[in-house]
Amino acid sequence: MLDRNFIGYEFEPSEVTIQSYQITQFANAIRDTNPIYYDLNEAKAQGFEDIPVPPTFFARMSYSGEKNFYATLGIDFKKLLDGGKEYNYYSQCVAGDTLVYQTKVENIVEKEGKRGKMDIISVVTQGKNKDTNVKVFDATITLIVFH
Amino acid sequence: MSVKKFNFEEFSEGIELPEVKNNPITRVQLIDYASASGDYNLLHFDESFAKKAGLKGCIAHGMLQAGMISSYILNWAKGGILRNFKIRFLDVVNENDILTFKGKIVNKYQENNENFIEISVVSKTQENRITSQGSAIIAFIS
Repeated sequence: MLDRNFIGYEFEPSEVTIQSYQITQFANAIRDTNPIYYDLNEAKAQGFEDIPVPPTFFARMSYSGEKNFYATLGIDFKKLLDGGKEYNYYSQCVAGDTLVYQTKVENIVEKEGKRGKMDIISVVTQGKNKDTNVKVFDATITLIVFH
Repeated sequence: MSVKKFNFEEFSEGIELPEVKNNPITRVQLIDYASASGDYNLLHFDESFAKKAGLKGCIAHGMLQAGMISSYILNWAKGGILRNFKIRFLDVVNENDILTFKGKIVNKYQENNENFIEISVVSKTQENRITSQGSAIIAFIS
């Protein structure tokens, strides 16, 4: 059972400047051939200020300081199940933008299912544009950890 | 390239998106996604490691599938702005699986003078195993 003192725990904020090659590399990995991710002129022709990020590009930001995320909470990978993810989008992020993002443990509740007792953890990451302070996205991740 | 954009009036609940059958998930794609996402969990590209963990072989990153589904939706919903995207993972995607995505409009509504549609998508393998269910809310500004 996870320590309930982690409810409300906030990880240190992180900062990243998004490079266009990272977006192109990501679009290629998901085999999305839309030219807006590869060609600046095409992105501009479709109304973007620069190469836009695909919606799930923020996945890598969903656990601030990912390396210590599980260790901090004391989560055992062998007991972990991914319960799903949800993203809200508030403004379009493009190459060259600097994002500040921070992850918070929103809640931990206990439930009982077919496989016995489990903790359901909701983790929320919020990202905003560092220069304009405009909200870009929030991501909620639901993790299931069996006792 | 000219892009055909939708008008909100064209939509109604129950309209189906064209089904898309993807190319097989290859090892190269799993490695491409590992480096693009920074998720280097060995389950996704080291077959002997995956087998030791009790799997048949390498499995795809959940978020690789999520990314492909979000592309499927956005490449259809031309002219729309994605506001919300949700995904639930229901079964593993193995290397070489061929995923088929099928979506439909499940809701159409107006809120604060904005037009929205909600799309639901199911992903199935060549064996008809359902691997995930996604949904999206898309705004259309007239």
